[in-house]
Amino acid sequence: MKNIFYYLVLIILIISCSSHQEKTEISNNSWEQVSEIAKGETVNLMMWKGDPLINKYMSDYVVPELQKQYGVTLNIIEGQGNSIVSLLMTEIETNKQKSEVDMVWINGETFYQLRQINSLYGPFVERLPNSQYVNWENPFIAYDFQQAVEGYECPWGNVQMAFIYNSDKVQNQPMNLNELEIWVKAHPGKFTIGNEFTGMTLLKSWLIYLAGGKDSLSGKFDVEKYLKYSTQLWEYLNRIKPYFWNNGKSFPSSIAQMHQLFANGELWFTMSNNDGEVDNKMIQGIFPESSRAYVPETGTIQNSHYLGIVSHSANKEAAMVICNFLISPEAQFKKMQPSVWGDHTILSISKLPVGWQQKFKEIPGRKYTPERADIQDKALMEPAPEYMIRTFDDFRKEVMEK
Amino acid sequence: MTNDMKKGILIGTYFILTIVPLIMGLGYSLLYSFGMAGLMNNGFTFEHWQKLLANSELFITIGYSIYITLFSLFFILTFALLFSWWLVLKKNNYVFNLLFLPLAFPPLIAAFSWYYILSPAGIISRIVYYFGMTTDISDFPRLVNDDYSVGIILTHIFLIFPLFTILFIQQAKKERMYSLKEISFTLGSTKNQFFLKVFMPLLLKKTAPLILLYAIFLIGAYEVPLLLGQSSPRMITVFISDKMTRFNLQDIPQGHAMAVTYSVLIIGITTLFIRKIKTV
Repeated sequence: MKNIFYYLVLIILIISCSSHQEKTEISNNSWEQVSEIAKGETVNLMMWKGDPLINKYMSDYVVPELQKQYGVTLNIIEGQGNSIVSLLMTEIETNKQKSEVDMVWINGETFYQLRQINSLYGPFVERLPNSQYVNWENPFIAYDFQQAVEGYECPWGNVQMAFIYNSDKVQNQPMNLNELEIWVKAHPGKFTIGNEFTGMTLLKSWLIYLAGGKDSLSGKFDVEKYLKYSTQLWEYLNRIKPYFWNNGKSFPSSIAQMHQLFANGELWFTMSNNDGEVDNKMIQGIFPESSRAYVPETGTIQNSHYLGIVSHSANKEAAMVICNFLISPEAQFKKMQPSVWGDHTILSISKLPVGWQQKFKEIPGRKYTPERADIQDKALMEPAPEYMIRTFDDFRKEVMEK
Repeated sequence: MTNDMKKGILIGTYFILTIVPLIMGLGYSLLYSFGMAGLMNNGFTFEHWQKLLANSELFITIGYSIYITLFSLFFILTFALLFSWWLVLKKNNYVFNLLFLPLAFPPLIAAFSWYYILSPAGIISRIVYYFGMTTDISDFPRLVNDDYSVGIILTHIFLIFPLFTILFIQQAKKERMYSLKEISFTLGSTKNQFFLKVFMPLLLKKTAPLILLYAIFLIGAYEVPLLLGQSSPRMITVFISDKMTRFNLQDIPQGHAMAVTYSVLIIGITTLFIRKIKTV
């Protein structure tokens, strides 16, 4: 028995030590050859499937169009952020040659993690014909968590964080931290922050505001700055925490839970990383009719979400064809309609052919949230990934556990 | 095929299906926690264990998991004993059959159901509001995500108490409890005396291994505390999951160290229990 145990430990050691990843050679094929290779292939895309409108866009529009136009079958698998990272880490650790997943829908935090473990294929974006229309001049698209995208992920949509409130209950929206403190104390139990990505995005926005706004936390992680301003942030949060939902003793662990608490009236505020979500949720009948969105004068983080191709995918060409379609004017135009998804485009309208420019200009405006142009001056860039990691850890230590 | 061969195949199959994955999983976590496996590690180190042991949350998490387990078990066993006592006396088959209903609920569904029953916007709160006993959603006492983990304990009772009731009834039949009761009553024992001196100790002793198994199940519960618990403190499994799947990939080895700690704790409890049984 003893010997067997030692052998097993030895085997595991050998397996773990021998795990390595072969560097993927970038194909030199022309785009016509790439499209030809892609025909008849099936691509597995892992993405968050928590929104019925997004799912409908994918299943009723993207999947049939890909089959019709390119002969590519798109198979969508449920999974996001940490489940993508866990899956790919396990595959790389076990030296799996062909991944179960070819493409992933990611944001900056996952991009940072996947780049750490070298699980993204690239650079590939510049090879997509439609990348010529992408608004690379916009730093909110070209940079993700202060990291240059460098062709390792293809921008798909752009969003800005917004507060969502019940206008029947909240007549004067708090516009800064002082006003929010007064409001929260006057309305105990009606506000909270999620202990998840959106909540952390809000805390980072406040950190930037406390540090002096806009570019104050740009560049590499600065531990001194972080400690100075996060201390102020924790003091502020601890001051108002007793007036949070459930007396600040627990915090929603997902944005879906926040939305649910808002929809059933327990909360009068929720928030979203997508400034267009309030329209989207009202079309679905999830939020009350009095729901409205706004961006306070403290500003909120704007960022983009992207598509990545897995480094050990066996269907890279077909995945590239799909990326190219998803950033095409037609797919982006469809996605931007508030009744379809309401996701802001990553294309530069001025770079598009005149006919498409006109079409984009005619997209019906948002009803319950300010137009993007009106909140653009309050947009803050994502700080370096370490701010997210430290904020998440310290929010637990300094606020939740106190 | 000889009997020895059959026995060998059976033992081998059991070994492959249970012991080998356990050793491999534990071994892998052990190596990961010492920096000897995993993408984010760079070689042998005590750093991850030092970080984990320096974190007071480790002890709070273990203490909280034990609190949930003991309180849940206390109520589960108390209700199951009282209910089985009543059913043994009444011989009510209709109620007995109803006990099987909660067993069909997976823990996650049960957790959601209790959330919708007990939350401030839930069914009870709405009924209370309808009858004018509350005027606002915030007047309703917090029974989920609450300080005393009422929602978690209630869900555990709902999920497990019927099983123990069925088990106690079957065990009572096996022990001819009805006849024992008649004899003890004839000899002048009261109902309370019979319950406390015969019924309860006999059933608890006979089902002790299963009680231990459920204690292990409860200490490792995940879905129910995830949905109905507070953000802090967390149950052991929620702590491990957070460490392994959140933003900081450098925390993964600490998650593995916690998994090793949890496994050692469980193996320790089980070993002590087995020794105790052997000595009795």
